[in-house]
Amino acid sequence: MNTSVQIAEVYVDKSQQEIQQEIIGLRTENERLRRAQEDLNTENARLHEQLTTTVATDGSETELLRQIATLQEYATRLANLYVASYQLQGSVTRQRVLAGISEILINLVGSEDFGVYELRDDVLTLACSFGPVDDDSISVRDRTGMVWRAIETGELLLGRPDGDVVVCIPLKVDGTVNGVIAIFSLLAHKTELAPLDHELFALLGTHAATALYSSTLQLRLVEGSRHAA
Amino acid sequence: MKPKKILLVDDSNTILMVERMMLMKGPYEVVTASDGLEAIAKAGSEQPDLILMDVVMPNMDGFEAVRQIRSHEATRSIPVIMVTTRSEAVNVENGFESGCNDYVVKPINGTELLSKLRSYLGEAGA
Repeated sequence: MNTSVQIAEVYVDKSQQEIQQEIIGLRTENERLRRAQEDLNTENARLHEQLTTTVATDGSETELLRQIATLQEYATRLANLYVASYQLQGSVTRQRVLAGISEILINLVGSEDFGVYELRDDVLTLACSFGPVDDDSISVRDRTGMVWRAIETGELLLGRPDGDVVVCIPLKVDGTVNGVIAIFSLLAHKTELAPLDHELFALLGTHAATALYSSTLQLRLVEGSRHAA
Repeated sequence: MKPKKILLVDDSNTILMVERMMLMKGPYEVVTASDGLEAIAKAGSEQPDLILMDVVMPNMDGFEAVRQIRSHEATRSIPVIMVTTRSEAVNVENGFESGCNDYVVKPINGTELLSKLRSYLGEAGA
C-alpha cells in the first residue's frame, strides 16, 4: 500500500469520527427539544381542560387564559427550534444542508432576501441565496461594513430595518468564524424581530455552521476516496 | 369524541412539521398534501374538517386548489385557511375571491393559528 493511500485512509477515518460525534451531539439536542415540547404540550392541554371544565371566577379565568397564552407561545418557540434543529441535522449532504438553512430563513425567520457565505482564505464565497443577492454586492464587498464586522468580531450584528443589511449571523465552529449569513430584508409584514428570531439566529450560528462544516468534510471524504481508488 | 381532521397542504417540509407540532396539543388527526392537486384529491378522500393551504406550490397553487375544492359538492363547505408569505391586499383579496375563509401569514404565529382554527371548528376557547 503506498503512502498517499495510507494518508487518505487516516484522513477518512478521522473525518468519519468527527462527523459521527457531531451527529450524536445534534441528535441529543434534538431529542431534548422534542421532550421539552411534549412536556409543554401536555401542560398546555391540562390547563386548557381545566379552563373549560372549571367554573372559575373572572380573576382566575383571566389568569388561566394568560398562562395558556404564555404556554402556547413557548410551545410555538420550541416547535420552531425543534424543526430548525431537525432540518440542520437531517443530512451531511451539502445541497440538503444549504436547502435546510434556506428553509429556516424563509419559513421560520421570514426572509426572502438573504445570502449564506463561506469564508476561505479571507475570501467570502456565496454558498446559496434567495432573492436578488450576488456575492459581489457592495454590502458584502465593503470590508468596513456589517458583514465583515460580524466576521471579525464573531458577534451577531443587527442593522437598521431600513438598512442594506438587517442581520448578520457569523457561522462559528469551535470559536472560529467560517462563514456568515446575511439577511438583507425581512418579509414586508414582518416589521420587527421577535425573541424567537434571536433564538433561531443563535441556533443557526452554531448548528448551521457545524452542519456546513460536516457537509464539507463529507464532500472531501468522498473526493479523497475517489482519488485514493 | 372523534378527533377533528385537519388537512395540511404545503410543499415545504419545514412548514408541515411546524404546523403538525402546533396541532399536536389538540385532539386533531392530521393528514398532509404537498401540492394543490394532491390537496384536491385528499380533500375528497379524507373529508377533513378544515384545510390549511399554502399559496405558492408546484403543479397547482393554493388559490386554484381552493376554487376546485369549492366547485365540488362533497368538499365545498370545508373551511379553508390560507397560509401565505404575502400579506399585501391584492393577495389577500385573491384568496377570498378563490373561496378561502381566512388567512394567516408566515412565519406562523401558533397562538393566532390555533385561535382561528378553533373558531372555524367551533371549539371552546377560540
